[in-house]
Amino acid sequence: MTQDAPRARGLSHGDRDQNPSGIGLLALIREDLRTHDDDLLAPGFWALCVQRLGNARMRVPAGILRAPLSVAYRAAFHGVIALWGIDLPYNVRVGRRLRIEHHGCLILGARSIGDDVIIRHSVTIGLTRRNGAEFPEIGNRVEIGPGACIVGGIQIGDDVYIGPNTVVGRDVRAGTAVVGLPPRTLELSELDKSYANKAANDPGTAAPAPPPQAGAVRRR
Amino acid sequence: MGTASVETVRGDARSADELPLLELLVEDFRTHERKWGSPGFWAVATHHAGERIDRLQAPLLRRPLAALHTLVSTAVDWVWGIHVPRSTKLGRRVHIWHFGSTLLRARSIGNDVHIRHDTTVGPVRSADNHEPEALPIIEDGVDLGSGTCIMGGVTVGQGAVVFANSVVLEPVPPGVTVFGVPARIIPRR
Repeated sequence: MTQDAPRARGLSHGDRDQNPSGIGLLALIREDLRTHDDDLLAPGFWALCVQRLGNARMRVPAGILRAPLSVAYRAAFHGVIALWGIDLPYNVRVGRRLRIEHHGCLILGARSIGDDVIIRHSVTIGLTRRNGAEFPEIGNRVEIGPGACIVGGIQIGDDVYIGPNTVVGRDVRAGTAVVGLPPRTLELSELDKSYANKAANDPGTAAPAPPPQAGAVRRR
Repeated sequence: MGTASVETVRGDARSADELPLLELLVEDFRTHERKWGSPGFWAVATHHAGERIDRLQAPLLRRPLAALHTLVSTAVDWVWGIHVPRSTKLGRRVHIWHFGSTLLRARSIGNDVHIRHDTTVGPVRSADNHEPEALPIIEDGVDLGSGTCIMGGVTVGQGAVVFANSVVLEPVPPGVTVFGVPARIIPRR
């Protein structure tokens, strides 16, 4: 995020440890487990664990010492893809407390993912097209609904909600919600007028042409 | 709730709770075209069995069976990606087609519901709101296309059809067809 020119938004080369600084590896993994409800059966935790270890191995000098670690990392990386369909390469810079809910068809090719991000299944983060070179940057406290696609060299600001099955190809301002297809931007405060509370369980209120609000439960 | 239409037509108005477990599992097997390899059959049958195991009184019987249930449901989840949380109330003859990324965190799912792959049923925001009011109700005979998301405390009415990749955030009246993000009602021809 810092050292690159604005247009150079490719993935990092993965030549160094990009785990969050200021926390040890074991403490970091312990925190990731806590983020996944201390559930050792959570695929999201294991995918993240492999990603953290893949980064940590880059501290070991290249050559005969690192080679076996790299082989083990690659085996685990492909195992996570084969078993759970979570593709989270080690050269994606991932912040603290990322929560991957459920699994299946998660392609997470972001330049960076911030702290306290929640990603649900079937989310694609990556290139706009095959020979593109620019990857998205995801801010802090972002929640990404199932089936969403976030593509291109865009920036998703902090405190953003991206709705289910939404395709995002433009920058998203901090504190907003992006919902629908084609996507529309709402203020998070609009989203706070909890659709779920307002209309819960009342099929009689559904109008033939529903209002544009996508609605959500309240934050925090 | 909602046992009127489809059930009485078939002359059997018992709910999933009232049916003997074996009969229920046989019915699930038949619903999934009598295929042992059908991921949906394993997901639904495991869930139905799990509900009965939870009801067992004797801890000596319940605990090992509950552990076995966790093992099998985790295997179904990991291998095929179909996750039906314990809290979801599942009706009879629910048919889950195909596999992959199917997460059914509903308050209840009725009888004769068809669910396809990549379907998400759950709260709008995942972080903190799992109380029943924030979860959808899928009534009897609903047909969910692949890639659909049913989010928040909405009710999808009896016999409604949700087309593929639609996102339902509003209650859906019985019998209608909805499509789009967010889903809108398609008028009948």
